[in-house]
This record gives sequence, C-alpha cells and structure tokens, in this order.
Amino acid sequence: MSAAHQRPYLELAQPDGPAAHFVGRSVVEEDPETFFLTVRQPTSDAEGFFDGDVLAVSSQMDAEPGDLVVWWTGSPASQALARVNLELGVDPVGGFLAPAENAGAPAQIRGVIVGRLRKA
Amino acid sequence: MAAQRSVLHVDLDAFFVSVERVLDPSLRARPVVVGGSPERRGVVAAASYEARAHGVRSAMPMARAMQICPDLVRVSGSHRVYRRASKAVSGILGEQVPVIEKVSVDEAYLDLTGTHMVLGKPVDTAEKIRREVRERLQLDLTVGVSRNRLVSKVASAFAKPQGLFEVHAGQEARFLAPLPVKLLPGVGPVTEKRLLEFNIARLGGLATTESWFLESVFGSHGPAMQQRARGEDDTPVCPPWEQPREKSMGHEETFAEDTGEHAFLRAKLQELLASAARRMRQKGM
Repeated sequence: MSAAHQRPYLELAQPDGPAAHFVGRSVVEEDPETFFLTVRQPTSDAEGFFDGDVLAVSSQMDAEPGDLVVWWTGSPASQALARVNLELGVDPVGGFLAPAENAGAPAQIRGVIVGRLRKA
Repeated sequence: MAAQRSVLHVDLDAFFVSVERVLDPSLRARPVVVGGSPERRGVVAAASYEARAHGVRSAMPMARAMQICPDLVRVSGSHRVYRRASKAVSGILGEQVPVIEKVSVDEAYLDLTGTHMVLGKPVDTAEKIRREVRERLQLDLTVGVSRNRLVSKVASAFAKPQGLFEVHAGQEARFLAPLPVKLLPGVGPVTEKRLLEFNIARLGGLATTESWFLESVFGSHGPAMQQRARGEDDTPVCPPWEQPREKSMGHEETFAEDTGEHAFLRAKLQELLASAARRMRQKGM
C-alpha cells in the first residue's frame, strides 16, 4: 500500500462473468449505466466493507435519505463513499474522506450503490 | 412492524460437471461435458465453463459440441450420483437456514426473514453457506441476496461463477433498470421480441412504460411483468410441506435413427406410458 493510499479508496473494476456485460453505456442514453468500483481498504472492515469488494453503482444523481452513494469532484481519484442523510446532505462512511474540492468544483453525487459483488 | 424480507437464491456452479470433477480430479481445468454419446445422437446435459468458452452449450447435439471443441472430454454421468450430491448440499443448507425451497437439483431459495438476531446478516449467512459447501463437498455455489426471490435470482445470475451478489434494500429497481428485458424471469423469446418492437429493451424502460399500454399489448400479464421489472415480488419461499404435488411426469427416449414405422412407434409409446404410470403409482398418484 503506497503512502498515497493511507485511507480507503475506490478504483474502477472490470468484473468477469455476466456482470461484465453491464459495464459501460446502456443502449438507451436516458437509462443510467451501471459501473463497478472496487473498494481498496487498508484497514479491516468499517461499515461492512472489505478490501476487494466490488460495488455496483447506478450512475444517477438522484438519491434518497439512507442511500449509499459515490461522490466526487470529477476525477476518479476523488471518488469516495458516503451516505445521504435526512437533510439530503452527504456524510462520509467507511473511513473515506470527503472529496477535496477540485478547481472550485464542489463534490457531488456520481452514483448510488445498488449492490455488492464478491467473487471466490 | 414486520421484519424486512431477506431471500437468498443459491445456484450450484456447473453442477453435473463439478460433481464429476470431485469424483475424478483429472477433469479439472479441462473442457468437460456430461451427456449422451454422439453416436447415439446424445446431447449436452451440462458443460464446464472451459467448454462454454468454446461455444458449447446445454442441449447442443454432442456431435456438434465435439466438432467445435476437439479437446472436449465427455462423461456419461449418473443422475443417481447427482441426486445424492444435491441431497448433501440440501443437508448443509438445512443446518444453516430454517426455510428452504428446492426448485431443482442445483437451485434453491432460502428465506432468512426475521433471522438477523440469531443468524446475523443475511450476506454473512450466504458467505458461510458458500464456505461450508466448498469445504465439505468441494462444490461451488453462487448466491444472490435481496429482499425477494425475483431479484435474488437475477442477482445470482449476475454473480456467476463462484460469486455472491447482494442487492441493497430499496435498490431493487435501480439494480434491474439497465439490464436487458430478456433477463427478467418470465420473459421468453416471444415476449422479448414483442417488447423490442416497442423499443422496450431494458427493464428500466419496462418499469416506466404506461401500464395501460402494457395491458393492451400483453393483457393482464403486462402489468404483472412491469411490477417484476421494478423488482417487486412477494412470492413466498415454500418449504416442502407447503408445496403442491407434482403436476406432471414423463418419460422420453431419443432413437439412434429416425423412423416412421407405426408398429415400432406404437410399441415404444406403450412402453414409455407404462413406465410413467408405474412411477405415478409408486408416488401414490
């Protein structure tokens, strides 16, 4: 684990098997796409996440209180996990920090976590 | 307040082939099929993932399978052995979970509703089951976890092979939305074709199409299909003592050569009917 990753982080994943068919753009542009991110967690689990967990993310900015979301400031390296609170604000979870503001761009929701994939 | 539902769909990976590999480890990592001989017009009953990578599929004529995969290893197989292995898996499931509905020799639904305090999180129970089946029987299980049967079934198909996919509560519709309509249980080739004619290619589109339109095209089946596309399914998991008796029973035989000889066919038909009737009497039907 490099010094740059003392905290958990997310990286784009390419799952194999049937799940791989759903990576990338949907046929119809209006439909949200599903993409996958791997949790890289330098410490033991927090909030039930383990290093290597692959999260299925529905790329939409609509989220409701209680939803687990990925938020960012536009760069893949800034992606972090958070949970939407009752005031429709976003609270970091799992040891992730809030994404650092990028060139004045505030953090916003990139997608909603719809599920978690684990392979043997 | 009623406990939140939790249903697992468990599916043994390449079950027949996996059992054969337990019996004969030399079959591991090789393209293997279980099925009848090509000389007797046998078909593929099951194919390993290595064989599938060559295009071999279940129900394919064996001769064709051997043509497209020259290194293919064919095993005749034994349904008696597979039933015993399936029963062993059921035994392990029964140790972990109170309500099980076995739907085939290699698939079952498990109801974990209300068991959180005793068994822990459903996803942890799913992991434990996978671990136990692998350690004790050397068989791999894929599991889908969600709030209902429908979504868990799609989730397990998503996670194959050797995977576990948990759909988070409340995200069923979002999980299904980008998936092709043909993945929805109950949507066959005819319904898929009809949906595509109306540019309904994804489950998200099916979920948001006007209900009256679906009813006009598919009758009462339309709105029901739409509900399922939204991830809604309250079908219960039925343990054996709540299941209806078998609705049909049959026997079949594939002839080595085509024939139109009436006397032969009549004699064969009587033989097959007698076998089916004997089985029905044995089951008290």
